[in-house]
Amino acid sequence: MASSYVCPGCGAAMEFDSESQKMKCSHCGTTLTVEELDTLNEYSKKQEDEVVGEFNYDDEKESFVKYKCPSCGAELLTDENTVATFCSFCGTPTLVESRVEDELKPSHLIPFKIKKDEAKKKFLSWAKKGLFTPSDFYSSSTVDKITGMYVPFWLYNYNAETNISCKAERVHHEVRGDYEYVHTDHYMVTRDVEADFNRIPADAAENMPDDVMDKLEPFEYRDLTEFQKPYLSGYYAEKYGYSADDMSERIEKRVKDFIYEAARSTIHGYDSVTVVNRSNRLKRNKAEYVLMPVWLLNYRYKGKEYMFTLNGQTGRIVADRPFSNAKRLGWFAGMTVVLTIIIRIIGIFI
Amino acid sequence: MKSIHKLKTKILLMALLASMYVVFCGYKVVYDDTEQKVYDDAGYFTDEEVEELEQYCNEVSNATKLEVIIHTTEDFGSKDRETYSDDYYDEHDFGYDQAGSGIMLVINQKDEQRYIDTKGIAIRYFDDEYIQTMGRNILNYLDAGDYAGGAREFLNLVEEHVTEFNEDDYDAVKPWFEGDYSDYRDFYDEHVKEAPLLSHWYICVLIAAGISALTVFFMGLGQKSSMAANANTYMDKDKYKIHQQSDIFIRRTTTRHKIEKDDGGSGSSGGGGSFHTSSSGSSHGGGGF
Repeated sequence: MASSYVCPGCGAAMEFDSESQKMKCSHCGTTLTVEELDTLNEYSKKQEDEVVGEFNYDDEKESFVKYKCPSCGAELLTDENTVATFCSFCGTPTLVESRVEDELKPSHLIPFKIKKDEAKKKFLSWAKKGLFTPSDFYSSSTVDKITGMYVPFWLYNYNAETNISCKAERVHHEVRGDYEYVHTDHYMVTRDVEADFNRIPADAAENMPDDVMDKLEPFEYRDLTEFQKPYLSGYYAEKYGYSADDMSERIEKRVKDFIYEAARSTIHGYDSVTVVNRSNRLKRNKAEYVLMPVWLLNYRYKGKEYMFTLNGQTGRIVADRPFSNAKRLGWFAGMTVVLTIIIRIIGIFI
Repeated sequence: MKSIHKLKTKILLMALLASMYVVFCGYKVVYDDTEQKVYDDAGYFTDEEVEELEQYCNEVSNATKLEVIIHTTEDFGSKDRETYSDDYYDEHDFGYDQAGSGIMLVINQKDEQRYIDTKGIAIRYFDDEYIQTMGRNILNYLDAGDYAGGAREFLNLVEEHVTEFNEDDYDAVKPWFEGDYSDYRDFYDEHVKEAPLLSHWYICVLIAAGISALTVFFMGLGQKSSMAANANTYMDKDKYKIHQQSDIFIRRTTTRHKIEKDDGGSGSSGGGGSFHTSSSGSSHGGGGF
């Protein structure tokens, strides 16, 4: 079933307001806390539960599901991972509640801290900063398409131990008479290090690029809030497409790098260190299912797809810019001319 | 009309004066073959030998456009052989041209000190290495007690070397005879010294283009986002444990190599001998043996 959070005062849809961290009615300005609205909603929902129907296209990979917009009655088509969306006819924020309940219920989320206007502003200033970025690569209509989305993440907890053996060298130079002596001291260095890594995030959405999501880290966990459905109102949200086990290979590669980094950082004072042997033991403790706030903007420039992403909590930007070869050439030419003159002048004085 | 005519004459006169000035200022021979060439203060030569050497000196001078002097002494005073030779040469005002071009052999067998002093264009003709070669050849005669033979060998070598040099590479010294240099240093700066690398525009452009290309490349890279989270971000610092650590010394290996010493001249490069400034302020080259 699909539902919306309705303002108890006027009946318009209520959305989560990241500034006040409360639910706000865009129509009459009523504000309620997430908890207040959630209990209010549980009560009213009981009376109007109505399943419009689910259609599963079994012969295709993706299954699309139809819902009825609780506000205007139009039929909404969503893919199987959609949790929160907007009615494509009336724009009412809509929640597919069954996808965040029971075993699909996230334990926590970090609410959006950055408003849509701020996200737009950040995009615009980022776009201006690129030295080689073409000036015409976005339009104001592009910027309006920036969307806030709760991306499903697993937070993993690992206990890891590593045992590394390395060959290390220390080199001294000594001058005696007409000869220079190079002494190389060879060492065998071993370390056995154990560490706990807590809440390593990994995005579990099927259609989010892993490397981009990894770069959006770190999220600040002090803002982790117990999950409640009203937070999603006014944003897009997805449920996880991969289970915690599905992604263990990916996350364990990271944990192995982490524990190696922790062990390697205890080896100092050598001129060269070569790891000859390395063994790891990893133990996974429970993984938590959480939703993380991300601003997304997909756009095309000269036939190529670009993605702008912004951490909805910390404001960290991860994005690739279009490059203008003309601008690049201009910089190269300008620098060459200026440097040539500078070098020539230096040449006079030395 | 008259005034224009007057002006014309004036201009003509000035042009004539100017051209005379150029002639006056050009390369000027001051050599006098009637003056003494052999200064045998130590008395190593017989009178006949002196006469013969005097004549030979003049021959070589005419062939080489260098004043050629032979000087023997057993008393350098308190000076070292280089200073003594420079001063002796300058005091006597030797030289084939206005800049004092010439070469002088100084022999002091008592102190076993020999020196070949060069000045003017002779510095260009005789590089340090050739002076040592000459020294070795002359020494063969001196050690055998044949002082006149050593002097003759010196004169032979000077004539031979300058003749060969002029045949092979006259362009290297040509500007000297076409200019009006009063000291070798000016000639050196203009025609001998290798131009520093950075005075060539194309080299500056190459370096600049290289730096620019790298900078533009790295500025492009710098615009890509990178990972901000690392092991420390998620590590529980309280539970971090080092169970075992050891750094065991295995062995020491040693290699050695000889340090190459730079034994070049007094910093002047680009052909010709190295040179220095004597107490009178003029440039001298040369070397002892």
